[in-house]
Amino acid sequence: MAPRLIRYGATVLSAAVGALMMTSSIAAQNGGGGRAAGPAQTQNVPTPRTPDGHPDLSGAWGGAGGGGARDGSPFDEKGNLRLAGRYRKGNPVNGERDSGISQRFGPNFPLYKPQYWDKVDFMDVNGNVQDSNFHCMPAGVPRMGPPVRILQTARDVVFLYREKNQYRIIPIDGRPHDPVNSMDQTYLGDSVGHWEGDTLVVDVVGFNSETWLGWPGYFHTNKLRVIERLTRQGNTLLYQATADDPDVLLKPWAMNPRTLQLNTNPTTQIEDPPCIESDSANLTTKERG
Amino acid sequence: MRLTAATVAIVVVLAIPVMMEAQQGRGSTSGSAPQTSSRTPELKTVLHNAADALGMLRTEREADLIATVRYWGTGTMMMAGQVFKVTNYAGSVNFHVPGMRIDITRTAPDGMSQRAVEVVSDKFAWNETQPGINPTPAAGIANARLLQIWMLPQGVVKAATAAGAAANVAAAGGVTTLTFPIASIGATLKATIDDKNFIREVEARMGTSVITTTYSDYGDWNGADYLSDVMFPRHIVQKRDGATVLDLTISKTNTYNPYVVMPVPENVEKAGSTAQAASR
Repeated sequence: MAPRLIRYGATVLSAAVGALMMTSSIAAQNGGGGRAAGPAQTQNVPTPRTPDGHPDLSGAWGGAGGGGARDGSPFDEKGNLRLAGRYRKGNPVNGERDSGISQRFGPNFPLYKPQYWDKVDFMDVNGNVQDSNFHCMPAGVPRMGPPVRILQTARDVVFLYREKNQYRIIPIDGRPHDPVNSMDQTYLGDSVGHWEGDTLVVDVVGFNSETWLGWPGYFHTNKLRVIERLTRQGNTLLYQATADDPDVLLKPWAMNPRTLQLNTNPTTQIEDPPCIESDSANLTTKERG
Repeated sequence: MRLTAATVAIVVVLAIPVMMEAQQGRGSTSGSAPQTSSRTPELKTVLHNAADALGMLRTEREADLIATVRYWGTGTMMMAGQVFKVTNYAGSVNFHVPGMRIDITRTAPDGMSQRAVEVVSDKFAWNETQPGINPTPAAGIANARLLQIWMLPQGVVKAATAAGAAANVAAAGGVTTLTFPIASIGATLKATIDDKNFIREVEARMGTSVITTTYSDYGDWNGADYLSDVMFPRHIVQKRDGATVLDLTISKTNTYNPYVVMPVPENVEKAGSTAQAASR
């Protein structure tokens, strides 16, 4: 197992944004109820709205941590990673291999053109060298999934991730892609958003070809275009993303949608352990669970 | 380890329910005690132990998470009474679809090299000149190709699990036999399981044909730097009505649920629809 998960602690970014979020989104998170901790109830909760009438997506979404270690923590009271009891037959090697198999289980995967089938296989098998995310580079969009925290104003939304402290600032005032930024090639691309009814639609272009669509070797080119759709209903956030790359894919690929609950834990933090570069040259296995 | 919540969700939905029931309260391991009792073991115990021996049961929940397999080998095959040398045999299986692509490069007795790519995806079968290229419909052969999926060791466990109460177990002389129908393709299979819970022989009856495949020398053939603990036979011999049609030695496998796709080509789907309409 690559020694990537070394310490478990709050980051500078999380601390910095924490103060900002205290003022901008606590009201939306609490939905007026001020629950003490954990995901909020989803039934019969009105969707909070901003003064301009759009749904307010602000808040911490999903199990965004906080509140100190609990029974579910992967670390013991001394801060050491627990190795026993979380794996099949208590064996960490089983855990590594089972993870590798689980993450490729499918059945929803991008459909590549035939000439790229072997390349996907090669990238996957040799992922400990080929996968830039394995070497601490950003996972990119849409691989890094939905944000764990959203801040929303009338002009833009800010997505925060527990993925190498990444964040995205996305204009939602109807502007088109910036002609320069959208031609640039970056890990997160150039994003612009607009509202379709109560759904925030984010259009992302301008990617580099370093990131993957998914863990099992799902490479893409710099022609990638991603459409993300975020819909809040009460205290539930639905995240959908579709990736299209006509150079290599036979058809657009819709990722499995994610449904996240609003996390009303007032001590919620974005805890993001540092990524430690793997020493690929000296790895003796291609396993990467 | 980065087991995502999305992955967990997929696994929960797709894990074979019967298999999950079989796992409850068993806690068997691949080294579980051989069934030496003369008493016939329960079906769910047989399925669990076979799945466990083959490395199909993963995570602490012991769910069947084997969706795809690729394997490569060499050997010989018999066609039209002639023995061909198989210089490359690449099998790619997707149990989800279910689908299979067999890419064979063989040398005829006259020294001519041939390449044949045979594909099945659910009810559609076709041939290709190379994977994904130049598809030609292969009418009336889909079920025979699907049978090859369910005759593989992992396929036997999945198909028997899907058969549910229609599957039967018998035990005699330290050998367990598992008999079950595959209604969707009109076949009946009888699998022989040894005292280590490995599937040693599968006999399939489909129409008037009897196809028997024997498996030996099970191991993890992914390579020392890519071990998955999924067991696959090194040696595969298949007979049709008593005559050997394939003798294969596996050189390598990828059992980490590799990328295996077989999208149905438009011309194949169209031909299939036309044939269906004509048969009505």
